[in-house]
Amino acid sequence: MAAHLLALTSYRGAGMPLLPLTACTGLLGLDGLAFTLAPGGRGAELLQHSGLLSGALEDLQRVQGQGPTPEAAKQSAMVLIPDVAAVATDRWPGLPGPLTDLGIAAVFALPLRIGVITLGVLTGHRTTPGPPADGQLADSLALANALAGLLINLAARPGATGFLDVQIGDLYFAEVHQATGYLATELDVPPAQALIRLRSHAFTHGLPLLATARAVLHHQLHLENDRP
Amino acid sequence: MLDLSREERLAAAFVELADTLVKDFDVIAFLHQLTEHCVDLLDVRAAGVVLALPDGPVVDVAASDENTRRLELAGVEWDEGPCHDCYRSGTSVAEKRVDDALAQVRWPQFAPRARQAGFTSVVAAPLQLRGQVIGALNLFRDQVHPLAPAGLRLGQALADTATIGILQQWAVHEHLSVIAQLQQALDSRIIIEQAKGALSNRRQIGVDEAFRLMRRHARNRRAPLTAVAMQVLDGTAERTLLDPGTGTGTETSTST
Repeated sequence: MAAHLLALTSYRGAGMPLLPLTACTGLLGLDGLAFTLAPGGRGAELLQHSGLLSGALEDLQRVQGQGPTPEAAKQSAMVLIPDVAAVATDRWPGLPGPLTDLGIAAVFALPLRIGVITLGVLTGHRTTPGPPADGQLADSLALANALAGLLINLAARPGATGFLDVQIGDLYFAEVHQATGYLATELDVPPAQALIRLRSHAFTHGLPLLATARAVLHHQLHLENDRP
Repeated sequence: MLDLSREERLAAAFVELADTLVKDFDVIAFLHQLTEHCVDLLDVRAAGVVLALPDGPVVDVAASDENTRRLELAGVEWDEGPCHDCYRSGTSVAEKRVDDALAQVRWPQFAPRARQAGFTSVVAAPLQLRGQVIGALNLFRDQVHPLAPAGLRLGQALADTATIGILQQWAVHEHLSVIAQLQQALDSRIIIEQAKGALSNRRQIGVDEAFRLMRRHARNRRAPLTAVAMQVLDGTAERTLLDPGTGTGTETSTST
């Protein structure tokens, strides 16, 4: 773990590097890790992830607009859910069921913070319930710190606004944004409204947002204008 | 405040000076508070403070009253006086009289002006944290007896607390601009993705082809890609880009 932390801390390249998420997943006793950018706690964008379920976990939270990742971003606080099945029903109504269906039993979302400033979230999950071991939580926090430092270094470079263009820093949900633009033109509505159409279709049909977006882009799904 | 004991006022002063992470933080008002606390809590007639960029020029001056503020401003202009010495050396200036021959040599312009303002002696403490000096606090007195050591220590403690507050505020401010950078990077990426989809729908082409067209259009017009993307989204982009069967699509392709 220390070697990975050192590599992240000493990274001085211009673009987002490929993060050692797969290696850390095992070291932290997890089944997946997701690295989400959310400057100021808003506009969470999944950049990199490991494990088979991380994409689906973030997708589901994006469809519903709720869950550990957005909560950690918004509150700038750790959200530790050692047992998804035991979450109070009014905390994230409608989320624990689909999470369990996916096979996700525990979720740990850590804010990436510098002082009082939130930059993003590191979300780990496990397919078995239970709290993280003491050492593993400490290591996760150290990883979150290293990632926050990495983001600050990348963003503080002059002309840093281009750092997301590099392939490795690509947005996992790029096609969702593309489908949003596609629908906005198709239905002649603002992008924000087009995204809501996309999300509500995914939600009502129990589909991933990414699959819904791909269906739109490949002309397999036509969303009608719902205005009279 | 008058109803409170000195002990309570002291505690309140420290809390107030530490509490800079608030919205609408105003550094001048904050420095003014520091000087007012000094006059309230210490055996001094007036207090003044100069704030400077680390190893740089003086950026702000505040004082407990207007007369003293003008005196501090004059000291900055003349490059002399206890605040100046204290800020330059980064160490405190022990109580010095302003009405003796030594003062006349030390501060030829500042000393007479300070006497005119009704002061007999002055003490200065640096605003510094771990070697970083960001200004100095001046305490002006009109008493014959010297300032008690406890009073001097308290003055330095108030200055230290204020320094931490100011540096914290600066650090947060710096990070805020980093957040703005990150947000901008993200926004511009999302806008470009949305525009790919919008153009793909308009021209009934794939998103990769739409991206290629936008990039070429931006390069030919020497316009930022994000700006072109925004024009695609709000429909104000040139027809040659937006509409199928027009120029851009059939122009000689340049490798991207």
